[in-house]
Amino acid sequence: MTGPPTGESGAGDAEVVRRSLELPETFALLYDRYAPDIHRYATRRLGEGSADDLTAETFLIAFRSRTHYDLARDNARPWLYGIAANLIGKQRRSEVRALRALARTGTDPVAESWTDRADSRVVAEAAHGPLAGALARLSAGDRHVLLLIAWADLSYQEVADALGIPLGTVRSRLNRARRKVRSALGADLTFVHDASEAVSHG
Amino acid sequence: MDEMTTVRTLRSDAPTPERAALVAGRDRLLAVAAKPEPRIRIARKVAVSGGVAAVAATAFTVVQLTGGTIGTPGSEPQLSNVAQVLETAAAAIEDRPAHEPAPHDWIYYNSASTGAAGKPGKPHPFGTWSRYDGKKYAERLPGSGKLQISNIIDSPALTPREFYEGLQDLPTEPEALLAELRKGELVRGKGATQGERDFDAVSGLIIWSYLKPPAVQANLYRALAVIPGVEIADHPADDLLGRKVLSVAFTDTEFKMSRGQNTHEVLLDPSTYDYLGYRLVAAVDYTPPKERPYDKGDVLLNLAWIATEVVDKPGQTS
Repeated sequence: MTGPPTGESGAGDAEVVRRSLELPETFALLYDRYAPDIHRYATRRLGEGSADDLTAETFLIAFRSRTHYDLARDNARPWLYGIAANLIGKQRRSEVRALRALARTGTDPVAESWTDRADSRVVAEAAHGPLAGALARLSAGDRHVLLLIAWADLSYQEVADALGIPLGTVRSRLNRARRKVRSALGADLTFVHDASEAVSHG
Repeated sequence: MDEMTTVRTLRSDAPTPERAALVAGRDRLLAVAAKPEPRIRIARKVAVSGGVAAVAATAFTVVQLTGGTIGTPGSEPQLSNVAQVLETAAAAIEDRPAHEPAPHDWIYYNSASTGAAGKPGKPHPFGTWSRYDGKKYAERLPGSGKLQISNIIDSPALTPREFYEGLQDLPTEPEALLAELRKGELVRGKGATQGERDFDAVSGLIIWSYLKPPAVQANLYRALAVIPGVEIADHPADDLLGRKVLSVAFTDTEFKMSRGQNTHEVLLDPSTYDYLGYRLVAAVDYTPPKERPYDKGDVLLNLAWIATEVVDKPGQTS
């Protein structure tokens, strides 16, 4: 999932931004393209209660800074995920609190936010407690890299663009995060060579 | 199962949003898009790649900033309507949720700075912790990095909580807010003229990044806009940590032997309008008593703000 979809309008992301400099409401096309993914990602990190505002604010910030957008970049996904990551980072404390709760109790406050209690109970898989504990202990930057790759399906280059860091830093943060997660999950995992990740994420 | 697969299974049932959840956000975007916008002229790095450069040139005027030392009042920053830019900044931050801490929460402050006599090389971030109720303070000892927690007894300074509550009580309207600050209970603005004192007071509340509700920070931005002599410059030059900034600047109108004559810059993030730092720049050549001479354009203080976070315990940074 690297290039931007062109949708019915046929215009790439950079063209939409360019048009929105003259006709501001055109920017809503980017909202239509990317808001569902951003919303789902925010939901997955912080819970349903935070996702509406966070998604709206991502696009408001993007809109207000669209004059700074590099029109040579035809894929706006990294730009938007970078803004969302920054906003998610401001709620670090509550994100970490929820991960620690899952680690301690086996109940995930974030997953509870979208679970229909009448129909089902969220039963965490056995690995999720230790995993959540490891995620809580990662630095914010490492957690962003890991989850943008694992949950938002960004490529390494897209993560680099989103967070404004070199590609090499993306790899080293990912490796560090994976080491810590592996260690928390214990020894009974089969290790998959890094090359397979590199192949699927460029 | 490898660890990446396990990470992917966590919360994999997170739902995609319903239409209703997305419609409200879209309406908010369109409401902002419908407002008339400030015409900030900025220097753009136009990608020289054939068609894209041509497209950017027709859609947007590329303006070259004139040369000159960072912050030198003599250089010609591209100016735009100050009130419009600060209103955009205020609107960008004021709807963020306010998270008021509990009395025994701690506030973590982190910044890096150099002064005119600053050591060459990378400035080091320095973090401190204050308990919200003002009764304790913590910092890491230089060298060992050991966390040292001390009690605060009989300090005349306001506690973080008193600041927060005092800021909450400020009037929302800019002129009324300035009048309230002139009482000197929350902050004492210094300067030769009322304008200087007002700018010093408002910027003081911003630049030390006391914990404040976003709505109050927004009103402080609006208050800056009504102080005569405030200028906006959108510099391509970066702050102490290499971040892009928007500068809200005020230049002292008189020379004072005790303070010289300087330009005070409050630095904001050009996209999010978050507070990023402060720069103090000599506006004329002068020599303060018992110090070395300063040239116009010398950066006397370069402060980069890194974080203000509410945490559970000292030593934590998030």
